[in-house]
Amino acid sequence: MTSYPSKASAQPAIRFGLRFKFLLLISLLFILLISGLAVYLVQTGADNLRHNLEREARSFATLATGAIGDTFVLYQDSGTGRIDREVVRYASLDSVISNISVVDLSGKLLYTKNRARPPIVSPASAASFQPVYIKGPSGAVSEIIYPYFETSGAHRYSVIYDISSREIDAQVQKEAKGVAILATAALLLTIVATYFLINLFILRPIRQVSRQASIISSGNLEQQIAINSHDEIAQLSMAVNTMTDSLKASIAELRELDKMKTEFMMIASHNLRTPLTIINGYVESAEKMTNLEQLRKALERISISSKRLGVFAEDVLTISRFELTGDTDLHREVIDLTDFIHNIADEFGRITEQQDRHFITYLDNRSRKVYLSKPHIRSALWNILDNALKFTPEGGQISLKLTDNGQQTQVAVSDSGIGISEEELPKLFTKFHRGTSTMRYDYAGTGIGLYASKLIVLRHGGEITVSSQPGKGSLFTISLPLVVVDQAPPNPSANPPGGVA
Amino acid sequence: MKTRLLFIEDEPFIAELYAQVMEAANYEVKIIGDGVEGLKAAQKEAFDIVLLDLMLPNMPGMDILRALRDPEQSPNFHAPVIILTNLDEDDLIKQEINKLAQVYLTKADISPRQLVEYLQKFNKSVPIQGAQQPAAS
Repeated sequence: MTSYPSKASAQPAIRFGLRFKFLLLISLLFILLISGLAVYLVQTGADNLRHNLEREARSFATLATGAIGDTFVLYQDSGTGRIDREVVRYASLDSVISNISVVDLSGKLLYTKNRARPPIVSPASAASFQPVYIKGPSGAVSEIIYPYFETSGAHRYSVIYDISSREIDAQVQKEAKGVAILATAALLLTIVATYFLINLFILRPIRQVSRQASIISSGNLEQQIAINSHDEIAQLSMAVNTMTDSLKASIAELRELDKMKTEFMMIASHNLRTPLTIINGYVESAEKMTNLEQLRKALERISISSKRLGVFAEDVLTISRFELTGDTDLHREVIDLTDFIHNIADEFGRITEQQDRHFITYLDNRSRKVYLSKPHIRSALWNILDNALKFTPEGGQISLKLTDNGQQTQVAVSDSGIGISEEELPKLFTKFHRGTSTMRYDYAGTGIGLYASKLIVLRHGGEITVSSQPGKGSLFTISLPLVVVDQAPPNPSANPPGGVA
Repeated sequence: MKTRLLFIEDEPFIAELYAQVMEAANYEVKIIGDGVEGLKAAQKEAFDIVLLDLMLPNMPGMDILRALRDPEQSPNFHAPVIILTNLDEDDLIKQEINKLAQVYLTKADISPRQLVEYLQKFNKSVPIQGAQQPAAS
């Protein structure tokens, strides 16, 4: 078995592969989504938190005012140290209260825990019987002024709570940090999951396809890629399988062609050697011949063989010219086919006479003008006549008939030879007409003459047909278009009739 | 007694050419131009040597050779076979020929006179079973 060189080139190293691209894409999408979500969460979370802390501060103010007021009334004359201690105790109960102060109803500051940042209170809010909530620049409550009622019911003081927005901000920041940490963890988790999923669903099947494809490219065309899914990978696998099949078909075709070429070379060398053998043999024996009749016979055989050699060479040339170069320049001319056929018949008649075959001609003298290439049509017809001679036993009969129907002219060659079987008939005009088995030679199909004849006749716009009865003989007919008088030949520009052909 | 040759060859000019020279060298030559007829003759009549072409009508030379070397088909055939052809067979067929036939000659490489010289040498060196049999009976 011929092995085809595999040009399985080294696979290029993967840089920024599918995995990288997918991960990049997914990370970008994820970061976009998470950051949007985080901003939203932090925003709403911060609002809620602020709200809650404010509510806590209000509740604290409601509950703590009585106690703080009592403490102030009780200890206001014994110095602020005692008050401070109590107030710090209360203030530690709420995280956002940054300062606690006491004012009288005119707004005059009587006590403040944080002396560095005393509150500013208007007399109206200080005298109010209802708690007053003062909002800061951020819209959140920054100060609560709560009225203190003594057990007698007198309202002489108000307690002021300062609410620290810094504390709230710190809380919000803590929350945001939590969200960010969670988001980062989620991102990492997603990346890891994507990594494995890409491996499982994309990279592994792709690697499988590429491994099998490289087995195929190393020459094993029987390798088929298994298809286990219905996705794009399956489509890719199917495409590779289809490609393999068509490769297999082309290789089989090429091998067949190669075999045919080898056989053609064998046949060609046989067809060259046989006439040469005859020529050399008769030349050798002629050297010793004294009988003039014998010598004449030897010369005739030499002449027939050299003619056969010439015809064969001509056929090979015709085929290679028509097939390989597509040469259409036949050097045609308008001639009288009747005359032309008479000449060929005379020549062939001499050969049949020597070889004990009856040659019968049905030829009249009516002029039939045909636009043709003399050497080509001559060899096309000669191949058929020679064939008839080869396959007609001694004493058999070969006939040549020329007719026309006003538009077409027919040259018919019939013989009483061995005939051609029905299955052989369609193969008759093919180039390598041979039996299917290489071990057997189909006797009739050893030439390329009929194929060359067919090419020539087709180039002349004609047709070649055959019918046969095995054991009884065959009938070959060449049809050629007649040139109607006073009408230009089919292709006058390319080949002027009667010109310098 | 003349050596009897069977020449299975369909090309009449070649058959005639070789036959003339061989007859002149005192061989008795029978020419048959058809594969099936040639096989029949080889199986029926006693020949000392068979010259066999490969490309023949009705039956290829290879099939004739195989049939002649098959004891069931040709129990009485023991003569040497010389393949005389212009066909350049592929190696596989040549291997088989080497097993079944005695010599493979290419016509184009050997003139009729050279063939006769070859046959004379061949006659002396190779014991011909086919020729010995009638003497024994």
